[in-house]
Amino acid sequence: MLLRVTRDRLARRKIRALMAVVSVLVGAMITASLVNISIDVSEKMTKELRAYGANIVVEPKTQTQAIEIGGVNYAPLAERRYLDSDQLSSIKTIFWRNNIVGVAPFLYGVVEINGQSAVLAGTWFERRLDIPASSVTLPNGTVLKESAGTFTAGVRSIAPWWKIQGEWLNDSGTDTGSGAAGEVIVGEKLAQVLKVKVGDEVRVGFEGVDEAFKVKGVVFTSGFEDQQIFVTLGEAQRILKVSNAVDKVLVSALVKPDDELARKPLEKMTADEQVIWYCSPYIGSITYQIEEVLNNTTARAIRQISENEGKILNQTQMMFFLIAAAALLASAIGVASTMMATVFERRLEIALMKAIGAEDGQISRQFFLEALLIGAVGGGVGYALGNFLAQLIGRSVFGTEIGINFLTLPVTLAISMAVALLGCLIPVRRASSIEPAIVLKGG
Amino acid sequence: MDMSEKITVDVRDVAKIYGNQTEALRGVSLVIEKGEMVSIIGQSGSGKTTLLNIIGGLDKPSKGAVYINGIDIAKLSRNELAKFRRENIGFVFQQFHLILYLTALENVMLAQYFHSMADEEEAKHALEAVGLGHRVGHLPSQLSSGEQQRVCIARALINEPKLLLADEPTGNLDQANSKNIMELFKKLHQQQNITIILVTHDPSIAETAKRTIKVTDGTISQGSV
Ligand SMILES: Nc1ncnc2c1ncn2[C@@H]1O[C@H](COP(=O)(O)OP(=O)(O)OP(=O)(O)O)[C@@H](O)[C@H]1O
Ligand SMILES: [Mg+2]
Repeated sequence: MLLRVTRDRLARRKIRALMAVVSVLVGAMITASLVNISIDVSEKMTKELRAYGANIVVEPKTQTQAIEIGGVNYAPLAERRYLDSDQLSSIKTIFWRNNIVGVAPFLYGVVEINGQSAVLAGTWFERRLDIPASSVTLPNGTVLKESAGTFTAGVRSIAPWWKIQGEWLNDSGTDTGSGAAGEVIVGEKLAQVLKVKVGDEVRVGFEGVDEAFKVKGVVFTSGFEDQQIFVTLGEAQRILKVSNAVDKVLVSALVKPDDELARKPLEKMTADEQVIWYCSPYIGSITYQIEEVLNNTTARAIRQISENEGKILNQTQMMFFLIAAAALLASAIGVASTMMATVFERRLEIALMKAIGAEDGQISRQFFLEALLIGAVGGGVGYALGNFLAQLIGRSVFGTEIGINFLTLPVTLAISMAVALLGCLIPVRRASSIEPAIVLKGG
Repeated sequence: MDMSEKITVDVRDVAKIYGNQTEALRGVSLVIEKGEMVSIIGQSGSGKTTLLNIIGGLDKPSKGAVYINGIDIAKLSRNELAKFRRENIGFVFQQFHLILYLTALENVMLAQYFHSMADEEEAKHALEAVGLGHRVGHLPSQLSSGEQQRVCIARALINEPKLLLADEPTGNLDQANSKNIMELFKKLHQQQNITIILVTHDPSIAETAKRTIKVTDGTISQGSV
């Protein structure tokens, strides 16, 4: 019966119902698109923010101070200590493994390029790592197990702003990190000095060996890397004759700004605090955890900017939230005003229903049902349009494709229905206050 | 509130002032016993509808009180009053007040719905009883005013009220139909002992009731016991 009354009423007031639907729709569309964008873009923006570079450097533990210029260790090779490139995947087994978004190892050597001396850097470009199954022991002894997985590591994830002319070296399909044998990428400044361009050949000389390499690309890094020549890590290890060796690893990790607990020395924390600290993504706890899995290494924070990353993201999300809230408020007002008009139009009918014994609840139920229908339709269509809008915004503002997130559908529907119900509250109160005798006599 | 089977209406010194000038009722007192059938006559504007609405709890008196089985209905909450109405009172409105987009049958079923549960068969029987078995699927706009009035009567009777408040129930009916309706009322009155208050202009209809009350200018001029 209730359905029949509602159905008839909606059918009879198509335009009015449509207006209410549209006002919900607009709010739902904005909400859906912002939720979608914020889910997708927060990930992408995090990566954009990564454009400031990695925030953790992992190096071998040394007694003597390394002589480092322009990121390159100039200590004599024999005295140099290395990290083991085979162990690097364990960085992704720490408690905060999911916050490690980029890992890139570097091995450096000074070589002769076409007769001029230059820094050769071996690194990963876009390499898939197999992460072994592992377990983490918390400070209180609790052991957490994690299954195996894969992770794409490499310089491209920690320095996404590097621009290539030509092609990247392809080390994606290899287990050893070699691949792209006989190929190099030349830093933009070095390329100018050497007067080489993509497709040219360069000769790389080291300790009596002299080999020809093909220039696959010229890289623009706007950093000291512009003066280096890049090969895959495996090639660098072969040329420099140090197998499995890595000088340093740059790590990009999502961190939480330091607070009071983070600034407290570990020894002064209570056992509980230690667990909380360990289980919070502070830069300190992440470097601590990296040192736990990589023997004889020091991991340290290399910049402060990461502290603000979280804030910028939160602010953006807060802004999205406020825009969506404002749009939804407008929707609720839209629903309220059309419903108000409906209550006025239907006052005779409401009065009659009350006269023949309808309680307030039975009257308001009709409006709530109507609101739910309006909310569902508006929310559903708004969701579809919102996805479309998200694509537009994604392309024009953020320059990326926005993935469609189906979780947004139930969320949008629920919010739309809630907004429509909210919009109903005042009209429903008005309906309850209708005096049957006066209205029925034509008042 | 125990209405048991029958209802006594006790109107005590009721006045109704609309706005602050129009005195629709000025001190009406009236007792209607269980199972009584009473007709109210009076000129247009004398206050008949106002009195009926106050008795049915649709309107509140400005002064005085209406006791139904000893209970002051003005003291009931809005929802209690709604419950009281749907369980005890059947209204036949002077202007019918049918819902325009519902069929005759659905209009009757709506009263069932608010009361308990819509029952299509029962609703059809009620329409047959007022001679509208062949019009169940019609919208009010497709019915004559006499037919609309009969839908209104079927709706008033569908929940087996203990008190029937009928405002000009035969105002738009021809003699034959008026007679049928009055026969129906009489039957209900006799068989089920329903208390009936009937407002009418027509002295011959008024005669159907044993007792006739005359309202003049907001007061009872005749028949108040
Ligand atoms: N809502 C209202 N506001 C102001 N005055 C009203 C209102 N309702 C009724 N009145 C006045 O109260 C008086 C009684 O009205 P009521 O409807 O009770 O008359 P009635 O006896 O039923 O007349 P009729 O036979 O024409 O139906 C009339 O003078 C009318 O103008
Ligand atoms: Mg009247």
